[in-house]
Amino acid sequence: MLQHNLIESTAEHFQAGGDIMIPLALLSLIMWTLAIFKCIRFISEWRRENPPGECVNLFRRDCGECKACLARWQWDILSRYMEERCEDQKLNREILDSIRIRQETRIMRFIGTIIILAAIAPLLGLLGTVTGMITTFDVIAQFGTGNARALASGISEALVTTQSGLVIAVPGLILGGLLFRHAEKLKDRMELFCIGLQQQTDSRQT
Amino acid sequence: MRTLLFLTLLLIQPSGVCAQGWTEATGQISAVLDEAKKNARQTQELIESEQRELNGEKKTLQASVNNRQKEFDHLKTRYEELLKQEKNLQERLEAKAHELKTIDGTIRTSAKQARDYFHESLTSPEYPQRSQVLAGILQPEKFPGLEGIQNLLSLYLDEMAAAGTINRHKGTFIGTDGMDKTGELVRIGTFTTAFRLPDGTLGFLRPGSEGSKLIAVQGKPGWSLSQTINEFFDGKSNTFPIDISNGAAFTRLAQEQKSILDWLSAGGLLVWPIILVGAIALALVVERFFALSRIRANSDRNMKRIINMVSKGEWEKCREFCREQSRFPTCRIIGHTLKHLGNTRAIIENAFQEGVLKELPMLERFLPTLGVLAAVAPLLGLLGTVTGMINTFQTITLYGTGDPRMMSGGISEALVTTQLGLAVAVPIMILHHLLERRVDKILGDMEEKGTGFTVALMKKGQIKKEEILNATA
Repeated sequence: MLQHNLIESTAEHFQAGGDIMIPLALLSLIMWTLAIFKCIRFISEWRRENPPGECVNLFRRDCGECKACLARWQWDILSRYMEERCEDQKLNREILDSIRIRQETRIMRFIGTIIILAAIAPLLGLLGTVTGMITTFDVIAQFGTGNARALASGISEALVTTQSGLVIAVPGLILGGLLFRHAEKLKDRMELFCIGLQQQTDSRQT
Repeated sequence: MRTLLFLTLLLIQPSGVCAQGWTEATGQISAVLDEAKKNARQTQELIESEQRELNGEKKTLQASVNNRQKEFDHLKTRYEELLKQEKNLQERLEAKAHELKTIDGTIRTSAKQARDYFHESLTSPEYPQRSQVLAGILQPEKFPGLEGIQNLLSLYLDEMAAAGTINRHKGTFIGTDGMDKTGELVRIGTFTTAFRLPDGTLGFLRPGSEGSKLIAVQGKPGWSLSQTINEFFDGKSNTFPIDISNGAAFTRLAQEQKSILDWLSAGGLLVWPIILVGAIALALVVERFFALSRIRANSDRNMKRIINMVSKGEWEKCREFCREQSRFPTCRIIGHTLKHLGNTRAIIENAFQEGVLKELPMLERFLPTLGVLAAVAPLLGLLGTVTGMINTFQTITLYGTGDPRMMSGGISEALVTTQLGLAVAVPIMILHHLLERRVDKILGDMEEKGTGFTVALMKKGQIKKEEILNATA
């Protein structure tokens, strides 16, 4: 019963917002999907990270097992590097850098999108506000200020959209910031991993 | 008197008369006396009888006088009573007349109200006798009477009954083009009347000015509304849109039909720069998407072929291929790099970097512009709003704030530009972001390909170590 009421009141709230609520809802859905997806990815990868020495050993021993128990980016870097390695140390570093940059872009993917969407949400809310106010003033032009009920619909449209825009934006920005910081840390770890990897491989060769 | 008469008679007798003569005379005298006595008695009786008669008459007259006097007194009191009564009645009459005048006025007022109401009522065309009844009640110099009051009441009662019914019938009305049309009508209480013509046209009706005709409302019901109305007409559903604002919503209906051009013209001059911004941004976005999608599609495949050629050492073929595929930036860069074969790694890498730097403006072309446009659009909208507000306040200085309707039009106009500015800015922002991401991807891709290419060259021994180069020099 309570749940039913909640759903009903939510639906009413949604309806009060007018047409702008549809893009807002869509935006929020995309944003949260991306954010949750990124969170899950980050956490699962974080738990499977291994120090570079262990990685190289594993790779030498058993490729399949290695792929299973390493984080995805580690596996990608490792396999590509092992494939393209040559004798020149400087070139090796270049190769590693280019591989790493590719991985970095993969990590940063969607974080920018999340932040942009969170920044757009209040703008959409503002658009809804303006639309609602236009409705309100149209009503005033027709009925004067006497008809409070007619005025209320426009005003509620204006306020509900603004509210929704902010409600979407604030957690979105916070989440985006957290993910961004996490990604930056991950980049640092990657760099360390790459240096370690080069040391390991080069020391093996010499 | 008798003695007097007797003495006279004695005197008259002659003294020298004889005894005989005496007796005779005595006899005669006594006869005369008797006669006289009789006469006197008769006279006496006569007098008495007359006296009695007179007395009786007097009595009766006296009685009648008394009677009359009594009657007169009685009538006088009666008259005074009646006068009082008349005065009372006069007062009552005056009071009643005043009351009646009040009632008459009330009836006339309500009849006038009824006439005004029924002129604007949707049910009036179904009751054509209404106007006659009302005209009868509203005749001047004539009290409507109980019948009129009852008629008026029955009119209102009919209206109340009609307000609770849904009436479907065929009927005529005046279309939006001013022609008479016949179609299926539905009246929902006194709220709404809608029509459907045989050709499927739908619309709402409002009462005409004289209350005998229905007139179609300007503006068409929207798609979803039309479906609802059609389903009701076909008997598939029992939901029907009702206008509870007594016709005020129809002005909105006509307003919602406003074309986009109307809506834009409401925003004033500053709408056009915003639209221009939007158009430019759209053109740029389309151009970028087209250019970038072409780049992405083929770079991997081309690279595979180039690496293949490099690993086989077919340099000429490779250069040829790069020239052929010079549409693609990666191929252009690699073609540029191929000119520096046989140099040190640093030179090759620099050549590659140079190539990337050459390509970069091509890739990022217009993107900063797009960002600026996305930032400018809402500002322009705001500028329009402020301008509109200034106009509104000028209106207020002229006319005061007495009528909110005067101002609200200007305010809603002012807000149109903000609305438009935001509506333009939000999509531009999203698209700009997408394009930026795509460019980043391509750049990362290029870097990677370049490294791969360098490695391939290295493996083929096309990159000399510095010491060797110095030695040959």
